[in-house]
Amino acid sequence: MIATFRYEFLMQIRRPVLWIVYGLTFAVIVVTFGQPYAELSMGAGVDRHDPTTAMIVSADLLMLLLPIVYGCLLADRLIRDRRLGVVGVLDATPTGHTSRLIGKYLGTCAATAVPFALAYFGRAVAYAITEGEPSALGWAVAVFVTTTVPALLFVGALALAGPLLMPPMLFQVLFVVYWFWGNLIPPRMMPTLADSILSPNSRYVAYGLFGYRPAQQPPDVLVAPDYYTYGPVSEAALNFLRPEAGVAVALLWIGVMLVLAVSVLSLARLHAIRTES
Amino acid sequence: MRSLGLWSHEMKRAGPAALLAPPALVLLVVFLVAFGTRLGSREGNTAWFLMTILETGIPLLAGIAAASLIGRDRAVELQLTLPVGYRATLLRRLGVMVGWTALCALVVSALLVVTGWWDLLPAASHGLAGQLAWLSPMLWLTALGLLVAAALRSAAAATAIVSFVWLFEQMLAHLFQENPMLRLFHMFATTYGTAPDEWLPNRLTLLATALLLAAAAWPLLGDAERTLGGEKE
Repeated sequence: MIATFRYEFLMQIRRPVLWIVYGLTFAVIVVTFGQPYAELSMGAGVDRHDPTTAMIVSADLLMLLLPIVYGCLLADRLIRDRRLGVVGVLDATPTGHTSRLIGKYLGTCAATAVPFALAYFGRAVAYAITEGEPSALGWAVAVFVTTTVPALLFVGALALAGPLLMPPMLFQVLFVVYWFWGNLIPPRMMPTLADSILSPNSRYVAYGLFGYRPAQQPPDVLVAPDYYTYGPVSEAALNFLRPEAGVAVALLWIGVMLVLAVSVLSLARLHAIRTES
Repeated sequence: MRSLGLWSHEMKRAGPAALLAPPALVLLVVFLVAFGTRLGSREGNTAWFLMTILETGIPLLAGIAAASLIGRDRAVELQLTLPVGYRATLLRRLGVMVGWTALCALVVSALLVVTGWWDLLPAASHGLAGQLAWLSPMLWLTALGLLVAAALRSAAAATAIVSFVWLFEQMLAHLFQENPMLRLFHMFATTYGTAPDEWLPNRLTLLATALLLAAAAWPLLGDAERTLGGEKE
């Protein structure tokens, strides 16, 4: 497993297109979100001098569109062995199928997340220097580990295993549509998983663990106006999947992401066993 | 006869996903047209969804198909010995996939016109020019996919860029609407709206820039050895 991890990591991180695609898309994000990205604040009244809030906003801005790049660059990794005809050779090695899958999963996901992490921690270092807030680095690590890592683990499992179950081209289309429908559109527009406990782009950890509060209260929350929390959205379908944010729900969201990742990988393994026999 | 054989071969090479996805979209439209109101969707909402499927779904299918052209062929040496250039092979395959998608888009728009949904779409132009609602973005995203795939020689990279641009233009549609320069290049001007009298210029700009993108891809695709030697999936 360690050997697979090492090789998969190195193979992915040395791919020039990984850096080219991330570079281009990151540049577009920075140019587009010029002011919010420079100030790390979304909306008037957010305390941008608070390092926790700034790091959450920074992660939010990246999580909007970069996971699509992350997923697309991962999508060809698992089916690649079969296409290159090296499955037979790999089968002859003493490493078992399951540990090879785990090694490949962790290795490629880690390598594909490196440019993501560099962009995020690069901004954190810049913030720490310009604002004179070294604690931002600590918050950046905390936010990244609790928010971004679980989300990327789930998205990574989905992107790796998806092309096994359907033609890769179809998967790419469905993956993009899923990210748009299940994570980005406002919940009142149509029944969607966005902002629910099942969405990798939910902000349960930000609200539940880090006490994040937006400056202006969105008009569509169900709760009393004297405090604002994250959770059910009025007139939205599937609200039973949107519990009110709190510490327990934030931890539950992390657990759900991990369980989903493991389930998707188990499905991929089961599928492989079925097709092998 | 020989050329017919080549086309039918490329149809098989295109794969079931490229051939089944556009009719699946047509079925989705038929379903929404038939049951949208019964599902509790308001009329305006359903009309908007139908246009979204036509204006954003069709280009996404064609764009991803174009982006995944490179790296699918085995036996590189054999391909290089053939009298038919590799560019012609790739473009024939692209023609099959995009042509089929366009045919399905025509069916969808005919369906919307016949059932009267087209009249409910606020920004949609009528008549023949109305067909540019899906044709312009489809050709633009296809040309972009082709160019990126040819330039980076990697299907994964090209699909990532196409997907990113597609999502970006939907998520940040307001940015395109506010800026008079960007407005001309917005792929989804029918769905998300544009300034009055700017719909047709927008469609024509998209067509013109799609031509430019395709022209840029042309010489890159001509170097068969380079294209075939690209990153294997």
